[in-house]
Amino acid sequence: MLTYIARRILYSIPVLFLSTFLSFIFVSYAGNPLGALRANPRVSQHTLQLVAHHNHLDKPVVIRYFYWLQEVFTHKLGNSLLTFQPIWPDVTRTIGHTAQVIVISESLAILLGVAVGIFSAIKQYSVFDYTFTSLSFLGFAMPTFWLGLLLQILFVDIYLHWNVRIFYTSGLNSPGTTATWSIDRLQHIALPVVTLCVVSFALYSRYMRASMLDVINSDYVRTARAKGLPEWRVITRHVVRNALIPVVTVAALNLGGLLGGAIVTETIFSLDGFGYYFINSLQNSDLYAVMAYLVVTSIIIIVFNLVADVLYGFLDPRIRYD
Amino acid sequence: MSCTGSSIRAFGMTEPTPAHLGPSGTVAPVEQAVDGIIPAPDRLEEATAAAGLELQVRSQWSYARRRFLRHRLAMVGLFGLVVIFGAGIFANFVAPYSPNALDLTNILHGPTSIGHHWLGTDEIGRDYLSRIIWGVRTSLEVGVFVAVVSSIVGLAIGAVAGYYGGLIDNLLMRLTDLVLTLPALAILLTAAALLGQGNQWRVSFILAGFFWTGIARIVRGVFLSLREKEYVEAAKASGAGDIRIMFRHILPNTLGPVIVNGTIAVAVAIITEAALSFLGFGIKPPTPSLGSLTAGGQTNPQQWWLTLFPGLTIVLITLCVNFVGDGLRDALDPQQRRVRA
Amino acid sequence: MHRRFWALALVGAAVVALAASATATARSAAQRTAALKAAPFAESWAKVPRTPAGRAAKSVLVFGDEQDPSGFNTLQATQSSAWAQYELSPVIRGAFITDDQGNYIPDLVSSAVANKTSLTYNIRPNAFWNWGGKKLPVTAQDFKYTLDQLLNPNNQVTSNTGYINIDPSKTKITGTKKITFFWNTSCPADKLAAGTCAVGPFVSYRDLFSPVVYPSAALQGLDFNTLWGNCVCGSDGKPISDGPFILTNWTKGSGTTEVVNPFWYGKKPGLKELDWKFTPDTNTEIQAMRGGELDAIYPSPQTALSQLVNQPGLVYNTNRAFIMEHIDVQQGPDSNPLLHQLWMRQAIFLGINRVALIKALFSSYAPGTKPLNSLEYILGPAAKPDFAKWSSAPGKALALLKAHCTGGPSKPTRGNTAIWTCNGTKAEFKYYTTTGNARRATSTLIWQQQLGAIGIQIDPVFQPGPTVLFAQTLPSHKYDLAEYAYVFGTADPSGNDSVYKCGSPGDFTSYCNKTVDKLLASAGTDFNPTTRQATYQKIDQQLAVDLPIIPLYTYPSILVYKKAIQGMQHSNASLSIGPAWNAEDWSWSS
Repeated sequence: MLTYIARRILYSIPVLFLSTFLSFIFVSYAGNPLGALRANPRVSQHTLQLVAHHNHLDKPVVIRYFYWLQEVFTHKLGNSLLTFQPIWPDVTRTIGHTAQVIVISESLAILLGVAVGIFSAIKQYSVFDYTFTSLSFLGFAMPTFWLGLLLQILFVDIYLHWNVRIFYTSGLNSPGTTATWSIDRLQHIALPVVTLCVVSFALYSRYMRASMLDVINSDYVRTARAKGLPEWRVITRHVVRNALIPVVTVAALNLGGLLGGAIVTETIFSLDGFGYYFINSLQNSDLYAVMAYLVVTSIIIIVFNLVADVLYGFLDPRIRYD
Repeated sequence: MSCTGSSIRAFGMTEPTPAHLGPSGTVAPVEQAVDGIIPAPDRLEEATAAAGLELQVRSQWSYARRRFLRHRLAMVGLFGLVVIFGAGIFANFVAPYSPNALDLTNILHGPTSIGHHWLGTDEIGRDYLSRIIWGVRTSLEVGVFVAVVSSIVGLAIGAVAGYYGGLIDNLLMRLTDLVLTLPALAILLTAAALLGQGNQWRVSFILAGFFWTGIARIVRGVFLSLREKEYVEAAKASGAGDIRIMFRHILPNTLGPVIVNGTIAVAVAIITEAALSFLGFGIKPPTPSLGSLTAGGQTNPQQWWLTLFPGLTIVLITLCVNFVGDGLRDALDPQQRRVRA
Repeated sequence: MHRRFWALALVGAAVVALAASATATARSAAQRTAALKAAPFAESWAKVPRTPAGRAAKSVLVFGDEQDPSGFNTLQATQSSAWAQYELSPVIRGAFITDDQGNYIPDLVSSAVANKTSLTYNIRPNAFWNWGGKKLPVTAQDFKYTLDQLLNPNNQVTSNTGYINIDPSKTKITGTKKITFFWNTSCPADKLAAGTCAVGPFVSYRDLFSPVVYPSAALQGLDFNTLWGNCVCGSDGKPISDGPFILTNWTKGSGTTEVVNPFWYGKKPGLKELDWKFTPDTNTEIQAMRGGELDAIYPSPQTALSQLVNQPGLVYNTNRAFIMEHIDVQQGPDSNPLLHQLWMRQAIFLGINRVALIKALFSSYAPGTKPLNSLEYILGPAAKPDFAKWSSAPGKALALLKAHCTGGPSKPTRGNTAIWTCNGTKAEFKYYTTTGNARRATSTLIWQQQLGAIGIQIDPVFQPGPTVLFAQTLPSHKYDLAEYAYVFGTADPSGNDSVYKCGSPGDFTSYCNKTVDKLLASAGTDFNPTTRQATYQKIDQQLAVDLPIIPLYTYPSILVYKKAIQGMQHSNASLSIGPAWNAEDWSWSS
């Protein structure tokens, strides 16, 4: 198992370098470094050259990649080409906020999804099952941005009509407060959490249901029933645990989609998160910040893919990695 | 006797045509055991004649078609798609107004029967229903383009990787891995922001460049498992070239998953393009896109119809496509044990 | 198997708990280190009352800051963000300050005299620096130091236009409060070509040494390129100011605190403290204004602001920003020859309805926006509505077209498809503008409809702005009509001279009128403000006859503040002073 993990990590490193290299080349050619400065008609050519030289922008792209790598390791992802400020503090601050939203919504999605999946499977073809199956279809078909927007509009309307603030529709905190786990913060992130939760919930409940059905109809469960165990014990002790295995790995693999969903929800609700940082950097053609986002998220995805595979091997004794 | 498969349920691999068989001209045996009621194929004619029945030979595609047509949800989805996409294709005739006909005296009107603005007007008085219909057309063009191109590319790459194996396979699969480890939406946004220029076809190309990985893997799997089969060896022995083998013998077996995957890809492409346009990086005005129409709703939160209707359209399209995809999957899946009704 | 599963569940729960606490500890750890490094803002913010009434009692005003400054040396290319300048304007002052009408008011200088050979400043006798509590006079040495910094080739200066006209080797300092600069009489050829030297007087001299003059004594030994990266302070780290307020602390990502500077020469400010609270998102700003968490905001114009327009207890003020949206009409050889005819240009101007466009674009959140009817002066008493005679009159436009063309509609008709043909050429023009700009997408549609109604067809071409439209299409003069915006850097009209001068690189429309050139040349050496203004007004009148450019509107600039605040006077963003240009006049009414 450890050799497997080690080998996977070893394979991932060149993949990571290659993907960052290609992203860097692509972003440098297609983008407009110092775009904001260039667009300012009052900035002189002389100054542009000075700034460009200071940031190694007058060197060939490949050399710049290695300068950028050096910045990544020595100065933690380097400086933004827009504000010329360090990128790392922004990254740590915004990732913390995104992590909070994602962790809460994922926990909700997994809990609810698993519960609904279990009951749908146990009571297959019941009203409960059909209702939630239809809701899952709906959940899959629902674009994240639309759901977020509808929720935002709904609560803005409620506020404008009745002047009562149930949930906030933008920002992480009311101005003046910065607490991470206050009622104010929870009121602010409730809507984004719900938005992110819905699609994941649909996914997990479907997977859980299908997996439960697979397990329920398998031989060893039939044996357990034949042994005379009460149904609830069969379900809890034998069925659910085995059925959870694929769901857990799906959850880990879903992370890439979640990060994408975070981009959309943070933009709609103006949350100071990693996705919002990325969108702003992209809008301002802040190339190094964009690269920072791609690098960090690629690492996260690679790690979670590895976690998913290892989890699967860990939980399912039939799987052996060599 | 006809050499197409005469099994009722268990159609798996395409049987080779007689020209490529040995001199005996016997039909290759079916892959899966069936219920035992149906006698072995070479006695089938006798048995049916003895029972006073007529032997109806159906190809596996006709079985697939029958199963598909019996799938209720799929039929509902298909109907929905015909209506929605039909409106999009014939937008010229269906839309009551031109999508750019503005009317500054009539801005931000709710849905009303006055002037046939069934879905209301936007902030410069353009009829929303017409804009949505034209937006559907754009989405349809994007979705179909992405599905077709990514399927072709994925098919080609998966076929080459699976058939030749070895180093080529390794390289291509590492390439696929590379694409998969990148954060999808972020890369798409970056590419669309820097290269897309708001142009519909550029954005479609960018999307297609990401969507081929799924189908490549599936196709590769099929090719890997099938290239060891006896009939492929036999074909090689009788002098068939690689391309011919790939196209004629192995490829048809991948068509099932490719079609299903392609159908789902249409929906995913439409939603992804809508997300890109919503964030401002996809298709830019004046080309109407369901995503940018929804984005218009964000700046006017009190005019709920601006947000509701484009999103609802996307949901409907996706639902219908998913139903149809479900039906296709059930119809084309050889493991299926019953016809879903 | 069970054990594995429970083990995993425990690990999972632990991970979730860890992640949750990590976000909290990351926050508090970050807060702790942030606290060690820059506790001041958090500390001072904690003392700020949370309600407007409380703040009024303590004479504190909280202003929403949309953009975190990257530093306060706003003359340095990488730190010159707009909000940095807004926050700096009550702290560091310059020779002149521009008021809300675009008038130049002497600030650090009591007077300035310029002529063809020299520029003399008489510095105010009671202008002082407050350096960490020490009172130091503002001296001629500070002006010299500023000039040297801006002319130093190693310094990444945003713009040294005008300063390059000054000869740094010839400066006369008389006493401590009088300095005379001399204009270059000649320049070495290489510097002339590189743009680091210019010959002759710079007529817009009141833009020089504004808005920043550096404290020479306090900045000894500091590098211009890294100056004021996290404070406005001297070489010992103590804050410095020569304005009504002194910047006591700035915490990145949180805000800035400015308190009254007792050594300022002007009248005592009505506020004791001015806080700038970083609120990057406009929606949050809007909610904060409604909820009373902020006292004033200067938001970027957008539709969401409509929520504040009629909010009780707030003043919603719209003014002209110095950003001009206009249509270029190409008169060069590569455009439709019909555009070279004056009557066609007049017909186009008469055919469009700018008021309707402005209503569609801005009525919900910038209700006072009006069409722009002058090109040289944008606002103030000097701006005469020379272009108002071309306001929308489709009937007149149609009469002009009928006189010269055939095949068009008889009256303005919505949805008309008959296009005029004049002298064998169809009245069909390619209309260039930038992609991805919702306002321009809308305006293009509106012009299409309005001009189509009188028989003129325009074909829109959308191009990316910085890389194609501005970089290639406009300089190549290969277009018919183009809509884009000019950002004015100064209230002085000489900033636009290159747009109208024959053959200059900034003259994209190929416009050439010798009379206008002569007037521009005479204004270029005229140091008498009255005659100079008259000359520019004459130029404006001529432009309104020749119509090289069709002015559309100026972007709105929006200032929202609590009704209880007095003294707020709206200024204009692109002049880079910002809303706090008269912060000394602000006070809470009782």
